Amino acid sequence: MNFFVQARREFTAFFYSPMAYIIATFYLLFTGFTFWILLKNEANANAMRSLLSFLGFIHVIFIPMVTMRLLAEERKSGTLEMLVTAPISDVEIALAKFFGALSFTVLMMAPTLLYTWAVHKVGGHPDHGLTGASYTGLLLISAAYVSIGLFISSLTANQIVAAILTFVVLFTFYFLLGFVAGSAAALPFNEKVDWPAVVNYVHFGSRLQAFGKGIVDTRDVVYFLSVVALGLFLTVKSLESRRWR
Amino acid sequence: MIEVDSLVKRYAGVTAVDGISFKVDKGEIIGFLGKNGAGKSTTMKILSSFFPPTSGSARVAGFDCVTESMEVRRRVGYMPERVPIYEDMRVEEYLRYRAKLKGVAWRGRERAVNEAILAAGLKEVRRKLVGSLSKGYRQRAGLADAIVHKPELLILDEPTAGLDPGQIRQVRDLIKQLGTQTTLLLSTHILSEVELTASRILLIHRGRLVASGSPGSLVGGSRSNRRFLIEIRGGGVLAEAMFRGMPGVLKVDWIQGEEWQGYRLETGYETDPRVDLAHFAHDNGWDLRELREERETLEDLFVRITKTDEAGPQVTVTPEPAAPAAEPPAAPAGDPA
Ligand SMILES: Nc1ncnc2c1ncn2[C@@H]1O[C@H](COP(=O)(O)OP(=O)(O)OP(=O)(O)O)[C@@H](O)[C@H]1O
Ligand SMILES: [Mg+2]
Repeated sequence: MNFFVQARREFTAFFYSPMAYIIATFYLLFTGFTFWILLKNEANANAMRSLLSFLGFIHVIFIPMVTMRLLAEERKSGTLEMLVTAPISDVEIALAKFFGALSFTVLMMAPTLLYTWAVHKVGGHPDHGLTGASYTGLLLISAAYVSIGLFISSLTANQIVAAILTFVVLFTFYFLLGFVAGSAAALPFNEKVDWPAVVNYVHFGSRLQAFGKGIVDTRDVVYFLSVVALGLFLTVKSLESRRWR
Repeated sequence: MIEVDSLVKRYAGVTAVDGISFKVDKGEIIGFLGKNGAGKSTTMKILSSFFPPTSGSARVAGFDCVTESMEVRRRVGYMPERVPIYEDMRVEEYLRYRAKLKGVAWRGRERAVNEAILAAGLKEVRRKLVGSLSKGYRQRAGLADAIVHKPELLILDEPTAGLDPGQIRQVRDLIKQLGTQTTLLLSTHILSEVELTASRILLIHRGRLVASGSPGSLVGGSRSNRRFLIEIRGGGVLAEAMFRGMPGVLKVDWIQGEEWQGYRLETGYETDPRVDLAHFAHDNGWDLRELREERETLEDLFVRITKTDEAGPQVTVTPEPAAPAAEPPAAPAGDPA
């Protein structure tokens, strides 16, 4: 299956570039430092919960850097021509790039599980159910981020532009929409549409909250998976667009 | 192997390919010629299924490049102009990956990779990073990639661009050797190379096919005017007038010299005035130093045909099977330029 061949290439490509090591290092420093501060304030499982809700935002900063090169680099260097003239479908390419980047993200996240152990050490009782739910949420929201980042990376040959644009979009969905929902009065009044509810529905931050409480709500899962599917669909369309340009 | 029918490709505003039709049989080595921007790369990209044509159709090995692109891609080895390769991989690692991607079965894969490495002369750099290769080796890596799955059709876009003379010769030999195993379509600006390797030349100009035929027939048997040079001592204006009066002579240029006078005669394609010229010289007591036909080289032909701003009349030497044989190629009345 060509999907596996390409997915493997995408995953290993991260380890060829110094950029990935730099990103991963900063990620660990950043989360480790945050966790250390949190642990000093409340030496119990609460530190873990606070950290996880914080990670959702950290990923808004780090995932654009992971996804920026996925297709922008191929476009710039021309390797996209080699890839799409090989017998691999556009869907396989999109999926391979998505899973390659998601695998790297998961690997980057993995060491944060050590913090659970740290909580244990300082005498707190880590809540494994809560941790499990939180990581499920984190994985889902990261998948959504990667999918959006992949699509944006397919639109440009400039990695920096891709990273910034992805950051802006993720920031909007994670943060700004929450702000908008909070000031619901500012929204145009309409009897038929409950704007605050609509905004809350698509707001990544609100969607993540339940996971942080240890609840894995099917609606939230479906929501994030839909975002993933939409991002992949748009990526495939963008790859196909060479056909009418 | 290739069937191209009234192919048109328009980029935003630019018509890069403007109704090209041709057919290529199995085993042919086709030299694709044309000025910069003529539409060579665009045609090759359509044939390798990178993008579809705006209109018209292209088929490779019987499969349509748009609707059956997967089948086409499996059968084509394509080397783009810029030779893009993942720079972070090592040569053999890259070729292994490409072989996998192109569906070379696990059992024969290592052998296929080794054969490609040997054929392209990459042995000494097989463990080097692609990004650190010199231009020539990079080009060869692209070539190895194109042949690793033993394609039925090889499409090489300027495979010898930017190589040193030694490497050009090596790549040319490799191409000749590959040409015995597969059908080959290669574009180039080095005309001598095409004369040596190609069995047929397709010359395109402004997105149109303007000449097609074997290198020999294009330059030798072309139904265009012939040129002869005669150098004599004595004669002067009288000789010029006499040459002008010869049947079949269309034009005479007098190249004045101190002692020896040169005359360049242009005649229709079926006239050969050499014997008459020799007699003239003898009968008039002129010393004859040189008398020869100036054959049009491929380069002359290229320049002559692509000089015009509009696509000129089509100079088809061997009848093109793909084009509907409506009218036989007419003998040009005068100099088309
Ligand atoms: N991506 C593109 N977008 C817009 N126009 C393009 C694009 N690619 C090529 N063109 C135009 O199409 C025409 C044909 O280009 P093409 O690359 O096919 O020429 P070529 O024969 O390969 O030339 P060269 O010898 O320089 O490689 C040119 O006028 C070129 O400017
Ligand atoms: Mg070109």
